[in-house]
Amino acid sequence: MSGLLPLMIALPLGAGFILALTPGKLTKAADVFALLVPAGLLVMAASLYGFSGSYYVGGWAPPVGITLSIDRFSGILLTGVSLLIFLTALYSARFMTRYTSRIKYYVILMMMTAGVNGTLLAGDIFNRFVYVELAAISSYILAGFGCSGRELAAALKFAVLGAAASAVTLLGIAVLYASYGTVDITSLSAAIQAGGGSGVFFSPLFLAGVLMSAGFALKSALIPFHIWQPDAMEYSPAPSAALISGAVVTTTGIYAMVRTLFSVFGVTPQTGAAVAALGLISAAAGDLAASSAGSYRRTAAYYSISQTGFIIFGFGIGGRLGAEGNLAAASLVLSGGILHLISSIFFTPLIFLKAGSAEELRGTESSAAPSKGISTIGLFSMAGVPPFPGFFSKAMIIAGCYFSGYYLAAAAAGAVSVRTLVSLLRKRAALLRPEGKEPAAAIPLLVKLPVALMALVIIGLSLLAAPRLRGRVLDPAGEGVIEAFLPETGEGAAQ
Amino acid sequence: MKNRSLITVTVSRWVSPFIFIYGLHLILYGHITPGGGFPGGVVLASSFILALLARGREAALQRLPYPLAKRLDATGAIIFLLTALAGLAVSGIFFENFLLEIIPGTPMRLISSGTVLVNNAAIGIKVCASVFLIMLFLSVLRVGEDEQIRTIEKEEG
Amino acid sequence: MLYYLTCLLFLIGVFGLLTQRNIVKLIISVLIIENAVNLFLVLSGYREGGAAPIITSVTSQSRISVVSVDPFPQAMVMTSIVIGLSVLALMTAIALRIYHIYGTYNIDEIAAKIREKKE
Repeated sequence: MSGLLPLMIALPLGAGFILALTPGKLTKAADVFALLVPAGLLVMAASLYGFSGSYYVGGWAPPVGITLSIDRFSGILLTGVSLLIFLTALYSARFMTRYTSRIKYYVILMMMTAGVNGTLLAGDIFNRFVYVELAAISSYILAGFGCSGRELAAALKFAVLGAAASAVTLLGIAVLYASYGTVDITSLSAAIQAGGGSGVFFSPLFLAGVLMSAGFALKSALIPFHIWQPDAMEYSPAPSAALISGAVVTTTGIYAMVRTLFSVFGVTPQTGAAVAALGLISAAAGDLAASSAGSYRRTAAYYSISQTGFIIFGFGIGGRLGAEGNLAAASLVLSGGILHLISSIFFTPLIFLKAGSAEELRGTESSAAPSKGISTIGLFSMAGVPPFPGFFSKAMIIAGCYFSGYYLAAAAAGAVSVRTLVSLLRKRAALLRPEGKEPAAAIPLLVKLPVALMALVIIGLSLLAAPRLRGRVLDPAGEGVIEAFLPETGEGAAQ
Repeated sequence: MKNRSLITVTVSRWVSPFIFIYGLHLILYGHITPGGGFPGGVVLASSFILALLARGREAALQRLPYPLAKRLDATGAIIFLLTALAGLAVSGIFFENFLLEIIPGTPMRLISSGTVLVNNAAIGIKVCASVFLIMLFLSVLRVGEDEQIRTIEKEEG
Repeated sequence: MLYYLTCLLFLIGVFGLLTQRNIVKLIISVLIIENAVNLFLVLSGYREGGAAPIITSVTSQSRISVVSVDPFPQAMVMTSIVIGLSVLALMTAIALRIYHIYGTYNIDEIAAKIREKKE
């Protein structure tokens, strides 16, 4: 089973280089090939689901070798992201025909897939950094793929800030290596716990934590570091915006940040509170900025920042509760955060893909507003309207805060989510065009189908909030996160 | 581009084969001396880049045509992946150095490292092609030469 | 001492990133930051008077971990340099294309031109 882990990275890489060799005449074949690879990855990710273990590349054990590992948390994200990439590839086959070379787009898509999968599977912080970079460089290219002036300006902003952020992340890794002499996550966290945990201020450990979190916070577009995101989301091609917001931000930003803080540094009540505060600020400020934003895409971009903030808030509170020993509440809050994370893998891309469909309908005019209908599902799950997953995840986070006595946090999170709900519902009328003005048949099937499937997935995800499924899917994933602050867990390294 | 000095042209012509050979040495002996696939590949590429800078794009493209460079770029990476997958196929572990058991070689000699040599060569090919392509595209991307991008795009078919 | 110098280099890069308005200078600032981090990483594995971490006839396999500098940061720096190179190439290419479109490297002027187009 664990033999699939290296293939999750090797397959998209190989496919990318094979696509790079494909001549322009075979574009149709490349379409099919670029669809088959994500489909295969999806099958592999689904069969890996629920499995946890690790794999030593080249047969070298941790201190020298490269480890790949998977647990319930990364497994569920791997499946979600693979599904997103498959659906986006399906969407791109028709949508990207407007650009000169679709094959080059597929090459970059495959590189990004490899980077994202690697980020989820890497077993040491340096390799995770490398895969984050692979995904990030691909997303700079994707952001500027159309080569119009504003796209390139947005991509350059993204690239300059991203490169600075990764230098900062690397500095954090260097500080950790200089202090502990290893980058393997398991031995590193053991060394940190033995050295007294991460509670000490202004120690090298504290410095490394701040540096690495800042680097990952830029990739996840949290508020002080978000300036690249609205531009990139507004101007880049719709599938690029979908991939960056759905796959790159969630994995290389949120996942890498949560994993680094929880599994490497170990959460103390203070760090949990700090992370929660950072998330809450983003949630509130993103929401405020969205109210005054102009176009559909820019508004959606700010709302997605707000959702990212909410996810980070959930993980921060969950970490604090777990560190205090309140495991039942921590599990509830973390399940809510994970549900919000997984549904945001689908609802944010859905919103951007719908914007792309609107462009398809009305020529190449960017930032066109889509019609009502399916995009409402995306907006509603972002806003937290009851039958959609956004509601359940936010409710779980807020309820967890409330029942464990954090009334202030619960009230703040509740106020932010109510405000998001109200402002989104009010803006919706202005953002979307009424249905029926244009015949919906004008949108090609290959553009409509993936979006419809994505909407179905979102509706399906709200079932995960049901207590039975929650106990089987979300809670084990949350345990994967919680493991970090349970002292008795020994890492069962198979292979 | 027009008034190139005779000295530059002649010296670059004389020097670049030596740079090329040094790059090959770095790649082939990367497992026993300082060097390896990436530095070797960059040195290899620099022999072409020297031609690009000193004698113009056409001279460089004559030595390493664009389609070939593009193909080498992808092929190098594929070879690298294939050796890793061959390890998986032969001994069941991804990136296993399976050649070392078949051909142990003598330590401190050229054939002594199994798949490492193959990997280094693959990386060398890829890096050489990529760095050359980067320089080529940057040289094409200057103001007013947009048509040349299109001609290059056309050449690839 | 050398550690402080890398910190200074890092700060120079950050200062450049914050104050410069020219795209090329911004790219150079990012490069300075990256190189400062790379230097720091190499220094973290340095050992006074250590040998190169290569097994030769002089440094035998058993003594290598005692006499040589730590090879692991060097491997990390190698990777980081490759990443830096590819990001540099990408940023330069984008900058050249932007200059081609807007005729300037100044980010304020570019932003103004983008805004003009919108209105």
